[in-house]
Amino acid sequence: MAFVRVVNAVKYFPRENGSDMLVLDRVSFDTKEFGITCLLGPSGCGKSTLLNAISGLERLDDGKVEVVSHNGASRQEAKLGYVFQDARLLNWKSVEQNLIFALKGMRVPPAQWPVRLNKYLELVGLGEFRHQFPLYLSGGMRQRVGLARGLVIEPEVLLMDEPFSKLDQLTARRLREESLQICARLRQTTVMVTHDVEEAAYMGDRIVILRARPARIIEIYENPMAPGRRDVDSADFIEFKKQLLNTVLRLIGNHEEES
Amino acid sequence: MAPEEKTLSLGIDGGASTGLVPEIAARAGRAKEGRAIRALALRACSILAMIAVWWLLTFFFPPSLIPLPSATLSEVVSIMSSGQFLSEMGATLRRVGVGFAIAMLVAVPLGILMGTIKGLENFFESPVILGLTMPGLVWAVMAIMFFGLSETSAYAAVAVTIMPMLAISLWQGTKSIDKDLLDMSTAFHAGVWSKIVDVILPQLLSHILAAIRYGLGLAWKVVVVVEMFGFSNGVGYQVVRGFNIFSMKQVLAWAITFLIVMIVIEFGIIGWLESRVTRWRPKLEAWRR
Repeated sequence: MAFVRVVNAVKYFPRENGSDMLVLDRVSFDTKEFGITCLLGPSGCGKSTLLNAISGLERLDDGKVEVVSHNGASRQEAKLGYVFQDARLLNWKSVEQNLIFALKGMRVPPAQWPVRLNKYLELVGLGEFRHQFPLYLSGGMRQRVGLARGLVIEPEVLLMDEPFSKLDQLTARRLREESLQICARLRQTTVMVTHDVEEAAYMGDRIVILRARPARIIEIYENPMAPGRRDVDSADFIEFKKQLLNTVLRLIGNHEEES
Repeated sequence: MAPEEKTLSLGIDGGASTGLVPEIAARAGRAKEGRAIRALALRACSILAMIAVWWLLTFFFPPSLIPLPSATLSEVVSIMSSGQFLSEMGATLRRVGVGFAIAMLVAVPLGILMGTIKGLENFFESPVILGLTMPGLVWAVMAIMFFGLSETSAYAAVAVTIMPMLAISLWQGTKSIDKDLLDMSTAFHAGVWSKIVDVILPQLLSHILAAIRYGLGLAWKVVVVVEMFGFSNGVGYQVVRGFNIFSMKQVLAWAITFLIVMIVIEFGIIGWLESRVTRWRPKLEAWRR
């Protein structure tokens, strides 16, 4: 496992009138190793850009992103897994074949495939559906396939871009619970982007709050509750959530919508 | 997994594919069989109805104009059991096959390029649409005038007729490829070959299949016309021969033989291909009584 270190990340987006728009303003933080780091901020604040910079899909104009291994060595490249907001499955391939697609791409030796497929399909509860096609599955199940696909390659860092925002409330709730347990069980270093304060409080071991336009770190919170002890209805949780919410509201102002 | 997740995944086919609740799945399976048998029965009935109408017409017209179904059908049987059938049908099939292959070789890369490069799209749009509007029979006539009565004119006529259709299909198919899926494949470091075979081609396949279907229908017509013009073999030639000796029975018998082969190809080969290729899509049968 490793963690991600972002140092003074700066990113501009070209605008039509010539002047560039500053999107990321010297963002610096470390993600939590073996845990979930949530990037929390209003929609459109640059969280996804930050995630793309971490993944290498976008280049920074200044600053850098490093992946720091367990032994302290730092690298530019790391083995990354992705979970997208919309599952983005290949609908003409079965659940199992979708996972194999990722294994193939990441050059995992075929000898290891059966063990991994079994393990991660069971982990997300889709063992019975391995030969089913995505269009025959519900939205929640498809997202589970997406999660399994991100995990099956056993990445050093798992990147999730608002993975539950397209699901209905009940399905999202269940999936959050399961993802939390799975990431805790695997001790998977995860970076998750969200605009939902409750989701951040529930899932994040470390919560990085970003303001918008340009994105700048306002505050970084460590979750006082261990993953197994976050009860959405408990007083502790509600208290922590309020803390986060106040920070977000205070510093971002009320022209941004909160979910 | 919780029960409600299982019911959510009940496919439109009644869950038979996931084998969940056994009795419901069995009943759904039987219902599906029942529907298939009913569909087959209806198709058979419509063919019998057409023959019945034909038979009725024989009461109002002389046999030289409307031959008896029985006589015609026995002629069909004798044609099909003779060696003649294989050579004639084979010639026609060959012309369609080669022309089709040539068309694919040109249209597939052209369509894909038109879908990827804007400049090529603008350039080729007009010729392709013009080619589409030109009647296939005109292409047939021009091919014969150009290449004379050689096999080449048959191949050329077929190829030029269906090329625009195939190109357009691939052009539009390429434009509608899901960019998000390509991004996902990049995220998982899929190689170029994997991207083409696993991501792009399957999206194009359904477009290609539809184009082949339409193309085939048109290609038959064009080939038969070319054959009518002066080849000495092929189904078209046999039809003209029937015309020359004024045997409606001969004309109809060959037409029916031709239809039978076409139907076998359509349902046997293309239909089978289609069902293999669209296995992953839920069918709309549930509410299409």
